[in-house]
Amino acid sequence: MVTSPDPSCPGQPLVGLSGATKLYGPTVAIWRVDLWVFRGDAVGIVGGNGSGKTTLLRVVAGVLDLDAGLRRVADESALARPRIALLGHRTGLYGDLSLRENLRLVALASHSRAGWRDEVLARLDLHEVADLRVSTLSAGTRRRAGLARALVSDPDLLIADEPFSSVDARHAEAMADAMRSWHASGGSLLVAGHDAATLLPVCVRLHRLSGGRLVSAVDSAAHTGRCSA
Amino acid sequence: MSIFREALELARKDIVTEIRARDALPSAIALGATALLVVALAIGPDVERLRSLAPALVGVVLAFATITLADRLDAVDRADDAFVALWLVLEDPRAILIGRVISLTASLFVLELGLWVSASLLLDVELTAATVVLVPVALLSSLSAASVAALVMTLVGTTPQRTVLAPTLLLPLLVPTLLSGVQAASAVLAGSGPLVLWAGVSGAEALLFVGVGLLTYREAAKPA
Repeated sequence: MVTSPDPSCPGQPLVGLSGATKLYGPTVAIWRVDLWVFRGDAVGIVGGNGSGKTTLLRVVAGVLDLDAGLRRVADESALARPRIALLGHRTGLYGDLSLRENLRLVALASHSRAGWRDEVLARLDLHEVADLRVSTLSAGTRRRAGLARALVSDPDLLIADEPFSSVDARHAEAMADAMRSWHASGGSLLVAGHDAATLLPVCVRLHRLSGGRLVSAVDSAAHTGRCSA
Repeated sequence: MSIFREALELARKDIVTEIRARDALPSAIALGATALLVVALAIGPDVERLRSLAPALVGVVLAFATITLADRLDAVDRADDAFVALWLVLEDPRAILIGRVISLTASLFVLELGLWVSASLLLDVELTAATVVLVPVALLSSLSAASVAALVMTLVGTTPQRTVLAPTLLLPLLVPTLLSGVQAASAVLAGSGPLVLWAGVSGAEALLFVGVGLLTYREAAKPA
Protein backbone atom coordinates (compact mmCIF):
# COMPACT_ATOMS: atom_id res chain seq x y z
CA MET A 1 0.00 0.00 0.00
CA VAL A 2 1.34 3.41 -0.93
CA THR A 3 1.04 5.97 1.80
CA SER A 4 0.86 9.67 1.16
CA PRO A 5 3.32 12.05 2.70
CA ASP A 6 2.29 13.29 6.09
CA PRO A 7 3.20 16.96 6.16
CA SER A 8 4.32 17.24 9.74
CA CYS A 9 6.84 19.79 8.52
CA PRO A 10 5.56 22.47 6.13
CA GLY A 11 7.01 22.22 2.64
CA GLN A 12 6.65 20.26 -0.57
CA PRO A 13 7.40 16.52 -0.49
CA LEU A 14 10.79 15.77 -2.07
CA VAL A 15 11.65 12.08 -1.76
CA GLY A 16 9.83 9.35 0.10
CA LEU A 17 9.57 5.66 0.80
CA SER A 18 6.40 3.60 1.16
CA GLY A 19 6.63 0.14 2.69
CA ALA A 20 10.29 0.04 1.75
CA THR A 21 11.88 -3.34 2.36
CA LYS A 22 15.41 -4.44 1.59
CA LEU A 23 16.84 -7.86 2.40
CA TYR A 24 20.38 -9.20 2.17
CA GLY A 25 19.69 -12.92 1.87
CA PRO A 26 17.86 -13.87 5.06
CA THR A 27 18.92 -10.66 6.80
CA VAL A 28 16.43 -7.83 7.02
CA ALA A 29 18.15 -4.51 6.35
CA ILE A 30 15.02 -2.36 6.37
CA TRP A 31 11.44 -3.51 6.79
CA ARG A 32 8.31 -1.69 5.60
CA VAL A 33 9.71 1.76 6.15
CA ASP A 34 7.51 4.78 5.41
CA LEU A 35 9.43 8.02 5.32
CA TRP A 36 9.08 11.33 3.53
CA VAL A 37 11.60 14.12 3.29
CA PHE A 38 10.20 17.55 2.44
CA ARG A 39 11.77 20.57 0.82
CA GLY A 40 13.48 22.52 3.58
CA ASP A 41 13.24 19.52 5.91
CA ALA A 42 15.99 18.22 8.20
CA VAL A 43 15.40 14.61 9.18
CA GLY A 44 17.59 12.60 11.53
CA ILE A 45 17.72 8.82 11.67
CA VAL A 46 19.05 7.46 14.94
CA GLY A 47 20.14 3.85 15.23
CA GLY A 48 22.87 1.55 16.41
CA ASN A 49 25.28 -0.48 14.32
CA GLY A 50 23.43 -2.77 11.93
CA SER A 51 20.09 -1.03 12.44
CA GLY A 52 19.74 -0.38 8.69
CA LYS A 53 20.70 3.30 8.55
CA THR A 54 23.13 2.99 5.67
CA THR A 55 20.73 0.87 3.62
CA LEU A 56 17.89 3.30 4.31
CA LEU A 57 19.97 6.28 3.22
CA ARG A 58 21.19 4.57 0.03
CA VAL A 59 17.63 3.58 -0.82
CA VAL A 60 16.42 7.16 -0.37
CA ALA A 61 19.33 8.35 -2.53
CA GLY A 62 18.23 5.93 -5.24
CA VAL A 63 21.51 4.03 -5.43
CA LEU A 64 20.11 0.82 -3.93
CA ASP A 65 17.05 -0.99 -5.26
CA LEU A 66 14.23 -2.15 -3.00
CA ASP A 67 13.01 -5.73 -2.69
CA ALA A 68 9.51 -4.49 -1.85
CA GLY A 69 7.78 -1.16 -1.45
CA LEU A 70 8.28 2.03 -3.37
CA ARG A 71 10.69 4.92 -3.58
CA ARG A 72 8.83 8.00 -4.66
CA VAL A 73 10.13 11.26 -6.00
CA ALA A 74 7.86 14.26 -5.68
CA ASP A 75 6.57 15.68 -8.91
CA GLU A 76 7.66 12.70 -10.97
CA SER A 77 6.28 14.40 -14.05
CA ALA A 78 8.92 17.10 -13.74
CA LEU A 79 11.78 16.80 -16.21
CA ALA A 80 14.49 17.53 -13.67
CA ARG A 81 14.88 14.92 -10.94
CA PRO A 82 15.77 16.30 -7.51
CA ARG A 83 19.51 16.54 -7.15
CA ILE A 84 20.73 14.40 -4.29
CA ALA A 85 24.19 14.36 -2.73
CA LEU A 86 25.19 11.36 -0.67
CA LEU A 87 27.96 11.41 1.91
CA GLY A 88 28.23 7.76 2.84
CA HIS A 89 30.93 6.03 4.85
CA ARG A 90 33.20 6.73 1.90
CA THR A 91 33.86 10.26 0.76
CA GLY A 92 33.15 10.06 -2.97
CA LEU A 93 36.46 11.79 -3.74
CA TYR A 94 39.34 10.85 -6.04
CA GLY A 95 42.44 10.23 -3.95
CA ASP A 96 44.92 11.22 -6.66
CA LEU A 97 43.27 14.59 -7.23
CA SER A 98 43.55 17.55 -4.90
CA LEU A 99 40.47 18.58 -2.96
CA ARG A 100 40.17 21.70 -5.13
CA GLU A 101 40.30 19.59 -8.30
CA ASN A 102 37.66 17.25 -6.88
CA LEU A 103 35.38 20.14 -6.04
CA ARG A 104 35.94 21.72 -9.46
CA LEU A 105 34.84 18.46 -11.08
CA VAL A 106 31.70 18.24 -8.94
CA ALA A 107 30.87 21.92 -9.47
CA LEU A 108 31.16 21.49 -13.22
CA ALA A 109 29.12 18.29 -13.23
CA SER A 110 26.37 19.84 -11.13
CA HIS A 111 26.46 23.33 -12.65
CA SER A 112 26.56 24.81 -9.17
CA ARG A 113 26.73 28.53 -8.73
CA ALA A 114 29.97 30.46 -9.10
CA GLY A 115 31.84 31.23 -5.90
CA TRP A 116 30.01 28.52 -3.94
CA ARG A 117 33.10 26.28 -3.93
CA ASP A 118 35.23 28.83 -2.11
CA GLU A 119 32.42 29.54 0.31
CA VAL A 120 32.13 25.86 1.19
CA LEU A 121 35.90 25.54 1.61
CA ALA A 122 35.87 28.50 4.00
CA ARG A 123 32.88 27.26 5.98
CA LEU A 124 34.53 23.91 6.54
CA ASP A 125 37.94 25.37 7.25
CA LEU A 126 39.48 23.49 4.32
CA HIS A 127 41.32 26.26 2.47
CA GLU A 128 44.72 25.21 3.77
CA VAL A 129 44.41 21.65 2.53
CA ALA A 130 42.53 22.43 -0.69
CA ASP A 131 45.57 21.90 -2.91
CA LEU A 132 46.73 18.69 -1.31
CA ARG A 133 45.92 15.32 -2.78
CA VAL A 134 42.93 13.81 -1.00
CA SER A 135 44.83 10.55 -0.40
CA THR A 136 47.27 12.45 1.84
CA LEU A 137 44.59 13.91 4.12
CA SER A 138 43.77 12.52 7.56
CA ALA A 139 40.55 10.53 8.05
CA GLY A 140 38.81 13.42 9.79
CA THR A 141 39.85 15.93 7.13
CA ARG A 142 38.70 13.56 4.41
CA ARG A 143 35.33 13.42 6.15
CA ARG A 144 35.03 17.21 6.02
CA ALA A 145 36.24 17.13 2.43
CA GLY A 146 33.47 14.63 1.68
CA LEU A 147 30.90 17.00 3.11
CA ALA A 148 32.41 19.82 1.04
CA ARG A 149 32.05 17.64 -2.05
CA ALA A 150 28.41 16.99 -1.22
CA LEU A 151 27.61 20.64 -0.50
CA VAL A 152 29.40 21.96 -3.59
CA SER A 153 26.96 20.06 -5.80
CA ASP A 154 24.29 22.37 -4.35
CA PRO A 155 21.80 19.52 -3.97
CA ASP A 156 18.09 19.64 -3.23
CA LEU A 157 18.68 16.93 -0.64
CA LEU A 158 21.89 16.24 1.26
CA ILE A 159 22.08 12.74 2.70
CA ALA A 160 24.83 12.14 5.24
CA ASP A 161 25.63 8.85 6.94
CA GLU A 162 27.35 9.42 10.29
CA PRO A 163 28.97 12.61 8.99
CA PHE A 164 30.82 13.39 12.21
CA SER A 165 32.61 10.05 12.63
CA SER A 166 36.42 10.42 12.89
CA VAL A 167 36.06 14.19 13.22
CA ASP A 168 37.29 16.11 16.27
CA ALA A 169 34.86 18.26 18.26
CA ARG A 170 35.96 21.61 16.79
CA HIS A 171 35.64 20.46 13.21
CA ALA A 172 32.44 18.53 13.92
CA GLU A 173 30.98 21.85 15.07
CA ALA A 174 32.16 23.49 11.82
CA MET A 175 30.49 20.69 9.86
CA ALA A 176 27.27 21.08 11.84
CA ASP A 177 27.40 24.86 11.26
CA ALA A 178 27.85 24.37 7.52
CA MET A 179 24.92 21.94 7.40
CA ARG A 180 22.73 24.25 9.50
CA SER A 181 23.39 27.31 7.38
CA TRP A 182 22.90 25.31 4.22
CA HIS A 183 19.57 24.05 5.61
CA ALA A 184 18.63 27.57 6.63
CA SER A 185 19.12 28.66 3.03
CA GLY A 186 16.46 26.17 1.92
CA GLY A 187 18.30 22.87 1.49
CA SER A 188 16.89 19.57 2.77
CA LEU A 189 18.82 17.21 5.01
CA LEU A 190 18.64 13.52 5.85
CA VAL A 191 21.29 12.59 8.40
CA ALA A 192 21.94 9.32 10.21
CA GLY A 193 23.89 8.78 13.39
CA HIS A 194 24.26 6.64 16.49
CA ASP A 195 22.75 9.02 19.00
CA ALA A 196 20.22 11.80 19.02
CA ALA A 197 22.55 14.26 20.74
CA THR A 198 24.81 14.51 17.68
CA LEU A 199 21.88 14.90 15.29
CA LEU A 200 19.72 17.36 17.23
CA PRO A 201 21.88 20.37 16.34
CA VAL A 202 21.24 19.82 12.62
CA CYS A 203 17.86 18.07 12.46
CA VAL A 204 14.27 19.17 12.86
CA ARG A 205 12.68 15.73 13.02
CA LEU A 206 14.20 12.58 14.45
CA HIS A 207 13.28 8.98 13.73
CA ARG A 208 14.61 5.92 15.50
CA LEU A 209 15.56 2.90 13.41
CA SER A 210 15.92 -0.49 15.07
CA GLY A 211 16.31 -3.82 13.33
CA GLY A 212 15.46 -2.15 10.04
CA ARG A 213 12.16 -0.77 11.34
CA LEU A 214 11.30 2.84 12.02
CA VAL A 215 10.07 2.28 15.55
CA SER A 216 9.43 5.84 16.67
CA ALA A 217 9.37 9.36 15.34
CA VAL A 218 10.19 12.32 17.50
CA ASP A 219 9.28 15.72 16.14
CA SER A 220 11.99 17.91 17.52
CA ALA A 221 10.75 21.05 15.77
CA ALA A 222 9.17 22.17 19.00
CA HIS A 223 12.55 21.95 20.69
CA THR A 224 14.54 23.67 18.02
CA GLY A 225 11.99 25.97 16.41
CA ARG A 226 13.82 25.46 13.09
CA CYS A 227 11.18 23.74 11.01
CA SER A 228 11.49 25.68 7.79
CA ALA A 229 9.22 25.92 4.79
CA MET B 1 26.49 20.32 -25.59
CA SER B 2 26.97 20.34 -21.87
CA ILE B 3 27.30 16.54 -21.82
CA PHE B 4 30.44 16.76 -23.98
CA ARG B 5 31.95 19.45 -21.80
CA GLU B 6 31.32 17.27 -18.76
CA ALA B 7 32.70 14.24 -20.60
CA LEU B 8 35.89 16.12 -21.45
CA GLU B 9 36.28 17.15 -17.82
CA LEU B 10 35.77 13.55 -16.68
CA ALA B 11 38.30 12.34 -19.25
CA ARG B 12 40.75 14.94 -18.00
CA LYS B 13 40.24 13.60 -14.49
CA ASP B 14 41.01 10.04 -15.67
CA ILE B 15 44.16 11.17 -17.48
CA VAL B 16 45.44 13.29 -14.58
CA THR B 17 44.80 10.40 -12.19
CA GLU B 18 46.68 7.99 -14.45
CA ILE B 19 49.62 10.37 -14.89
CA ARG B 20 49.91 10.92 -11.12
CA ALA B 21 49.46 7.29 -10.13
CA ARG B 22 51.79 6.07 -12.93
CA ASP B 23 50.03 2.76 -12.63
CA ALA B 24 48.50 1.01 -15.62
CA LEU B 25 49.95 2.82 -18.64
CA PRO B 26 53.69 2.59 -17.80
CA SER B 27 53.36 -1.09 -16.94
CA ALA B 28 51.42 -1.71 -20.18
CA ILE B 29 54.14 0.04 -22.21
CA ALA B 30 56.88 -1.91 -20.41
CA LEU B 31 55.04 -5.18 -20.90
CA GLY B 32 54.44 -4.43 -24.57
CA ALA B 33 58.06 -3.52 -25.24
CA THR B 34 59.16 -6.69 -23.43
CA ALA B 35 56.83 -8.79 -25.58
CA LEU B 36 58.30 -7.25 -28.75
CA LEU B 37 61.83 -7.84 -27.47
CA VAL B 38 61.15 -11.49 -26.66
CA VAL B 39 59.67 -12.09 -30.12
CA ALA B 40 62.60 -10.32 -31.77
CA LEU B 41 65.05 -12.52 -29.87
CA ALA B 42 63.07 -15.66 -30.64
CA ILE B 43 62.89 -15.04 -34.37
CA GLY B 44 66.41 -13.77 -34.82
CA PRO B 45 67.74 -11.73 -37.75
CA ASP B 46 64.95 -12.55 -40.21
CA VAL B 47 64.03 -8.90 -40.86
CA GLU B 48 61.16 -9.54 -43.28
CA ARG B 49 59.48 -11.92 -40.86
CA LEU B 50 59.91 -9.51 -37.97
CA ARG B 51 58.36 -6.68 -39.96
CA SER B 52 55.41 -8.78 -41.06
CA LEU B 53 54.71 -9.83 -37.47
CA ALA B 54 54.81 -6.30 -36.06
CA PRO B 55 51.15 -5.31 -36.67
CA ALA B 56 49.88 -8.52 -35.07
CA LEU B 57 52.15 -8.12 -32.03
CA VAL B 58 51.08 -4.51 -31.55
CA GLY B 59 47.44 -5.59 -31.86
CA VAL B 60 47.75 -8.38 -29.29
CA VAL B 61 49.50 -6.11 -26.79
CA LEU B 62 46.83 -3.46 -27.37
CA ALA B 63 44.06 -5.97 -26.67
CA PHE B 64 45.53 -7.06 -23.35
CA ALA B 65 46.40 -3.52 -22.38
CA THR B 66 42.80 -2.52 -23.03
CA ILE B 67 41.65 -4.91 -20.31
CA THR B 68 44.24 -3.63 -17.83
CA LEU B 69 43.64 0.07 -18.50
CA ALA B 70 39.86 -0.18 -18.52
CA ASP B 71 39.87 -2.17 -15.30
CA ARG B 72 42.20 0.31 -13.64
CA LEU B 73 40.04 3.33 -14.60
CA ASP B 74 36.95 1.56 -13.35
CA ALA B 75 38.64 0.67 -10.06
CA VAL B 76 39.66 4.31 -9.51
CA ASP B 77 36.06 5.43 -10.02
CA ARG B 78 34.67 2.88 -7.60
CA ALA B 79 37.42 3.08 -4.96
CA ASP B 80 35.81 5.67 -2.72
CA ASP B 81 32.28 5.76 -4.11
CA ALA B 82 33.24 8.61 -6.43
CA PHE B 83 31.22 6.98 -9.20
CA VAL B 84 28.04 7.11 -7.09
CA ALA B 85 28.72 10.74 -6.19
CA LEU B 86 29.10 11.66 -9.86
CA TRP B 87 26.10 9.60 -10.92
CA LEU B 88 23.89 11.49 -8.50
CA VAL B 89 24.92 15.00 -9.52
CA LEU B 90 25.29 14.65 -13.29
CA GLU B 91 22.28 15.78 -15.24
CA ASP B 92 23.09 13.14 -17.85
CA PRO B 93 25.23 10.32 -16.42
CA ARG B 94 26.14 9.20 -19.94
CA ALA B 95 28.84 11.85 -19.71
CA ILE B 96 30.71 9.26 -17.62
CA LEU B 97 30.65 6.78 -20.53
CA ILE B 98 31.75 9.34 -23.10
CA GLY B 99 34.48 10.58 -20.75
CA ARG B 100 35.67 7.02 -20.26
CA VAL B 101 35.84 6.40 -24.02
CA ILE B 102 37.86 9.60 -24.49
CA SER B 103 40.36 8.90 -21.70
CA LEU B 104 40.77 5.25 -22.63
CA THR B 105 41.28 6.19 -26.28
CA ALA B 106 43.96 8.69 -25.26
CA SER B 107 45.79 6.11 -23.12
CA LEU B 108 45.60 3.38 -25.75
CA PHE B 109 46.70 5.79 -28.46
CA VAL B 110 49.79 6.78 -26.46
CA LEU B 111 50.48 3.10 -25.82
CA GLU B 112 50.11 2.18 -29.48
CA LEU B 113 52.40 4.98 -30.62
CA GLY B 114 54.94 3.80 -28.02
CA LEU B 115 54.61 0.27 -29.35
CA TRP B 116 55.25 1.38 -32.94
CA VAL B 117 58.38 3.23 -31.82
CA SER B 118 59.47 0.07 -29.97
CA ALA B 119 58.68 -1.97 -33.08
CA SER B 120 60.90 0.27 -35.18
CA LEU B 121 63.76 -0.35 -32.75
CA LEU B 122 63.21 -4.03 -32.03
CA LEU B 123 61.51 -5.41 -35.13
CA ASP B 124 63.18 -3.18 -37.71
CA VAL B 125 59.90 -1.63 -38.84
CA GLU B 126 60.71 1.37 -41.04
CA LEU B 127 58.86 4.46 -39.85
CA THR B 128 59.03 6.82 -42.80
CA ALA B 129 56.95 9.76 -43.99
CA ALA B 130 54.74 7.29 -45.83
CA THR B 131 53.96 5.43 -42.62
CA VAL B 132 52.64 8.55 -40.88
CA VAL B 133 49.21 7.15 -41.76
CA LEU B 134 49.84 4.75 -38.87
CA VAL B 135 48.92 7.65 -36.56
CA PRO B 136 45.25 7.93 -37.62
CA VAL B 137 45.07 4.14 -37.92
CA ALA B 138 46.32 3.85 -34.33
CA LEU B 139 43.81 6.46 -33.23
CA LEU B 140 40.94 4.60 -34.85
CA SER B 141 41.88 1.22 -33.41
CA SER B 142 42.36 2.84 -29.97
CA LEU B 143 38.93 4.43 -30.22
CA SER B 144 37.40 1.15 -31.29
CA ALA B 145 39.00 -0.79 -28.42
CA ALA B 146 38.07 1.94 -25.92
CA SER B 147 34.42 1.90 -27.01
CA VAL B 148 34.16 -1.85 -26.55
CA ALA B 149 35.94 -1.75 -23.18
CA ALA B 150 33.87 1.13 -21.81
CA LEU B 151 30.66 -0.71 -22.61
CA VAL B 152 31.82 -4.06 -21.25
CA MET B 153 33.07 -2.53 -18.00
CA THR B 154 29.68 -0.85 -17.61
CA LEU B 155 27.85 -4.13 -18.12
CA VAL B 156 30.12 -6.03 -15.76
CA GLY B 157 29.70 -3.32 -13.14
CA THR B 158 30.43 -4.39 -9.61
CA THR B 159 29.51 -8.06 -9.95
CA PRO B 160 31.71 -10.21 -7.73
CA GLN B 161 32.83 -12.24 -10.77
CA ARG B 162 34.06 -9.16 -12.64
CA THR B 163 37.70 -10.32 -12.63
CA VAL B 164 36.71 -13.30 -14.77
CA LEU B 165 33.77 -11.74 -16.59
CA ALA B 166 35.54 -8.62 -17.89
CA PRO B 167 38.23 -10.38 -19.99
CA THR B 168 35.87 -13.19 -20.95
CA LEU B 169 33.42 -10.73 -22.46
CA LEU B 170 35.96 -8.23 -23.69
CA LEU B 171 38.43 -10.39 -25.61
CA PRO B 172 35.93 -11.86 -28.12
CA LEU B 173 34.43 -8.42 -28.70
CA LEU B 174 37.91 -7.05 -29.36
CA VAL B 175 38.53 -9.51 -32.19
CA PRO B 176 37.10 -7.20 -34.92
CA THR B 177 39.20 -4.34 -33.50
CA LEU B 178 42.27 -6.53 -33.51
CA LEU B 179 41.58 -7.77 -37.02
CA SER B 180 40.87 -4.37 -38.57
CA GLY B 181 43.76 -2.69 -36.75
CA VAL B 182 46.25 -5.36 -37.83
CA GLN B 183 45.01 -5.37 -41.42
CA ALA B 184 45.04 -1.57 -41.67
CA ALA B 185 48.54 -1.31 -40.17
CA SER B 186 49.80 -4.07 -42.50
CA ALA B 187 48.40 -2.16 -45.46
CA VAL B 188 50.20 1.00 -44.33
CA LEU B 189 53.52 -0.78 -43.87
CA ALA B 190 53.21 -2.66 -47.18
CA GLY B 191 52.22 0.52 -48.98
CA SER B 192 49.22 -1.25 -50.52
CA GLY B 193 46.04 -3.06 -49.54
CA PRO B 194 42.49 -2.19 -48.50
CA LEU B 195 43.47 0.37 -45.85
CA VAL B 196 40.25 2.40 -46.09
CA LEU B 197 38.10 -0.70 -45.75
CA TRP B 198 39.80 -1.85 -42.53
CA ALA B 199 39.93 1.64 -41.09
CA GLY B 200 36.21 1.83 -41.82
CA VAL B 201 35.62 -1.41 -39.93
CA SER B 202 37.40 0.07 -36.88
CA GLY B 203 35.34 3.24 -37.11
CA ALA B 204 32.10 1.31 -37.55
CA GLU B 205 32.84 -0.81 -34.50
CA ALA B 206 33.53 2.29 -32.44
CA LEU B 207 30.25 3.86 -33.59
CA LEU B 208 28.31 0.69 -32.85
CA PHE B 209 29.61 0.26 -29.30
CA VAL B 210 29.38 3.93 -28.38
CA GLY B 211 25.81 3.92 -29.73
CA VAL B 212 24.81 0.83 -27.77
CA GLY B 213 26.53 2.28 -24.71
CA LEU B 214 24.64 5.56 -24.95
CA LEU B 215 21.33 3.76 -25.37
CA THR B 216 21.80 1.41 -22.44
CA TYR B 217 24.02 3.34 -20.03
CA ARG B 218 21.38 4.78 -17.69
CA GLU B 219 20.02 1.33 -16.87
CA ALA B 220 23.21 -0.69 -17.21
CA ALA B 221 25.40 1.52 -15.05
CA LYS B 222 22.86 2.53 -12.41
CA PRO B 223 24.50 1.96 -9.02
CA ALA B 224 21.80 -0.18 -7.41
